[in-house]
Amino acid sequence: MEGNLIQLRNIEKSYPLRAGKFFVLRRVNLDVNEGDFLTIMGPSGAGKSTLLTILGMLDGEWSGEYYLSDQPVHKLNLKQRSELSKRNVGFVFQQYHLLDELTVAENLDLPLSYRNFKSSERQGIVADALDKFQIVAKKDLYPNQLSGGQQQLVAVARAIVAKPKLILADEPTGSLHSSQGKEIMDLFKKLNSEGTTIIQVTHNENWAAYASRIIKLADGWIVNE
Amino acid sequence: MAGSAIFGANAGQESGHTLRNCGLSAQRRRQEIGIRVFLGAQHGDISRLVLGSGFKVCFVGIAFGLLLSFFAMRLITSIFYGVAPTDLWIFSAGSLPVSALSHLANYIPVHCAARIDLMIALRYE
Repeated sequence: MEGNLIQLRNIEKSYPLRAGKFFVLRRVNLDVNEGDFLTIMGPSGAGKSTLLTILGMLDGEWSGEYYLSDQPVHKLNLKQRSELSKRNVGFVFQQYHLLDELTVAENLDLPLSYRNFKSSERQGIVADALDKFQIVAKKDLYPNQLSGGQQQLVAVARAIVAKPKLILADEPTGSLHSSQGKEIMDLFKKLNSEGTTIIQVTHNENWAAYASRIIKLADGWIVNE
Repeated sequence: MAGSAIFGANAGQESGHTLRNCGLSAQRRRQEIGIRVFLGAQHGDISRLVLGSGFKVCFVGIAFGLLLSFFAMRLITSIFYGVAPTDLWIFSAGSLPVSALSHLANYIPVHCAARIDLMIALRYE
């Protein structure tokens, strides 16, 4: 298991129906090493986002084995999984999901406020993130005052501000123009080169090619790697 | 008697409005709650957030209500025999149930919202 950040063994998720079960994921086996950049592709309904929420430990209704840094997630209770997710995972969404009533700086501070950082420490971390992403001038603006690309940039900064080992990105460029999408993908490539493991879901072949590995899902099965 | 009936009817109606408005507010915040949970918020964090903002609204409303009641009581002391314009029981009888109901109206959706399907919450518009 050395070097493995994630190991999935026979992961399955289903919903009960009158006639039986509807499987969203079927016998998913996957290894992700630290520093990998993985793309998950597939048609709508293939189970991509479901796999992402399981990887992020925000969905507990599944069967199989899931190891994160050798820790058996499948044996943890809800609170333990939540704590593990907080320490290790950052999320980026297609719709950015910034909080409209908070400024850029406050949006970056929010995940830190849920992680027992001291207030003075948080200010320093937020300042570093604003500087790293070159958005210091925008720190007092609200999300509705930013372009789509800028909002996603802030969302990516928010995802990494607590220095997670793993970034999960669900269609991060889905709402962006191609030039803005390229900026975000270049940023992901840079973060990955600095050691962050990234798993993204995308329909776009161009953005998928930024990854070092591509897996394809169909009807809940991994069909191609 | 007529005055107390009117008071009772108004208190009941306002309690109903409070219950509905607080519940709607918490439901509209489902997406915000989903985002906060994704960012690491626990159930206690969400409860403090929604109940805290609900309490502030309730407190301001009750404060205004008590102020208006103080002046209104001076006009209706002739209806309630033996009641002083600043009778604490009469003031409390109206504001306490409304306060309790608004907190209950906030708590129930929070209790449900903190356990929502996060992916559904984030797609909720």
